[in-house]
Amino acid sequence: MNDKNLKNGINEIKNIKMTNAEKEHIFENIFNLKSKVAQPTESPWSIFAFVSVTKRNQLVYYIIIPLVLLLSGSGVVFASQDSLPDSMLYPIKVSVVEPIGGALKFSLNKKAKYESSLATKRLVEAETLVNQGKLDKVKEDKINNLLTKHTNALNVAINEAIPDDANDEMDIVATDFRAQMNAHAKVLDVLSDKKERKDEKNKDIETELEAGVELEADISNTKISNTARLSADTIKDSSSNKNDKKIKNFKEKEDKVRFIVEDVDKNINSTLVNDDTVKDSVSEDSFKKLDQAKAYLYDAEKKDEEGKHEEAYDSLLDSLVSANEANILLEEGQKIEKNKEITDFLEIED
Amino acid sequence: MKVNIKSTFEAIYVDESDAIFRFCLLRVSNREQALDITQETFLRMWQSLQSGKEILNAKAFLFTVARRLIIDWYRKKKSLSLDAMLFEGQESSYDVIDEKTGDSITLLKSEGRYLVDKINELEESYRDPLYLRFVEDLSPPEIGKILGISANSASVRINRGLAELRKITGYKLEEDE
Repeated sequence: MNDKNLKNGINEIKNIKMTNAEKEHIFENIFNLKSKVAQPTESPWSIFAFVSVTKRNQLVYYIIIPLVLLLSGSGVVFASQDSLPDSMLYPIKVSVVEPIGGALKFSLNKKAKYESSLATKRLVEAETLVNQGKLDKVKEDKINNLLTKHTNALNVAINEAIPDDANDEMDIVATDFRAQMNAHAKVLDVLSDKKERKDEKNKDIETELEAGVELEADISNTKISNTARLSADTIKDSSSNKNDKKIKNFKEKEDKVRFIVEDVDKNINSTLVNDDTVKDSVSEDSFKKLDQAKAYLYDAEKKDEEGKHEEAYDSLLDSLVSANEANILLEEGQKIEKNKEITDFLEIED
Repeated sequence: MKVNIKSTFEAIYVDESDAIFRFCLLRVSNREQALDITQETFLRMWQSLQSGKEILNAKAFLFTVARRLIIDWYRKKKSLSLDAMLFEGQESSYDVIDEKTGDSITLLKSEGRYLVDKINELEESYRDPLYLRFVEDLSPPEIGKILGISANSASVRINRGLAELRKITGYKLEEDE
């Protein structure tokens, strides 16, 4: 047998085609189906869109703090808002400005949202410092401690909240927090890893690839990202403990989560394949998270059918977290690609 | 503007619809299902064009979407019994009815069927790169884009897949005889 058989086989495969009737039928169907453009989707449990929870907090934050500033007559407070751990204004931000913001939140839900947003902010600060090459042990410990503090405050709010159907909003806060922690933990690990590899001078990647060796880059977890993941797990456990409440309207919530997952699917597929520059592992992870979201959704459906309603609700929330994570990873992945300071990327092999 | 989008889409559809259908059919082994996935793939492309998104590489877009839809389909199907899945695979899904005579036409003869079976025996990481390279004539960079890996990694997988395929098929290079 020789390559002629291989070529014959390939040519036969290439002959597989649709009939003209099938082709026309599909073409007509595409134009007859109602087209949808992805729209921001409403939260399945409340009037609040869950992806904008943080933005809403920041809006309040930027209204209240200037008010405090006007009353106090100080410009320093205002200037501290975007400061990083290496700035002199940072202690004012985390010890004065942010606690004031928290004190002005009068409901448990609002406190929870606020602490969640601060936790995300800490991770973004860590990412910024890594990009600037300024994340040393002192700053790492500082951010880590603050992250733990915000998680504890969120946990207290969740545990104090009365578990009832009117408090689905706390589930939204918890799922959003989990997604932010897991997604930003991944981003932080990738950024830290890339920074380390850029500093290595004795690795000839091209030589290894030419030799046919497939590289498997192990990305090690940073201290902050480990804390972030642990925080996500802590909040998951706390929320789960509250699920002895009656879970009403499961099917309706399931349908809404399914819609959200499908929306994220279309968004990821159309964004990633269009963007020639996006090749890094963060964006690739968004595909994996999307797959996970679908798997959890399927699991939720099965468990509900089996009468395991609390487990089904847990899986439904896990699906929502994964879908949200996928979206965040997509956005962050694109930001990483556009950052001109980091130009060397490694692929993670499956 | 809408006329331009439609004519762009039509041109892509004419060029690529058979390739996408073929890819789907060889993965799901069911003609109806392959047609559904092909339709959904092109529907998503149409929706992307309508929403104003510029598609830089139509082929890569289509294969990526098709691949994801196939993975979704496998996940939904996993609850079927093994017997049911085997039965589906044994139907002559590569045959088609001639529109004029109504006779069944066998599109895939023995060598083609043999090659398809052997490709499906390969490791999953080799299957798609090999198929996309040798059947659909895509370049390693394009394959890398579709699979979410580097062009170099795609090349490595293609070469290894080809070596493996030659081992299990017994195909040799002409100069080796």
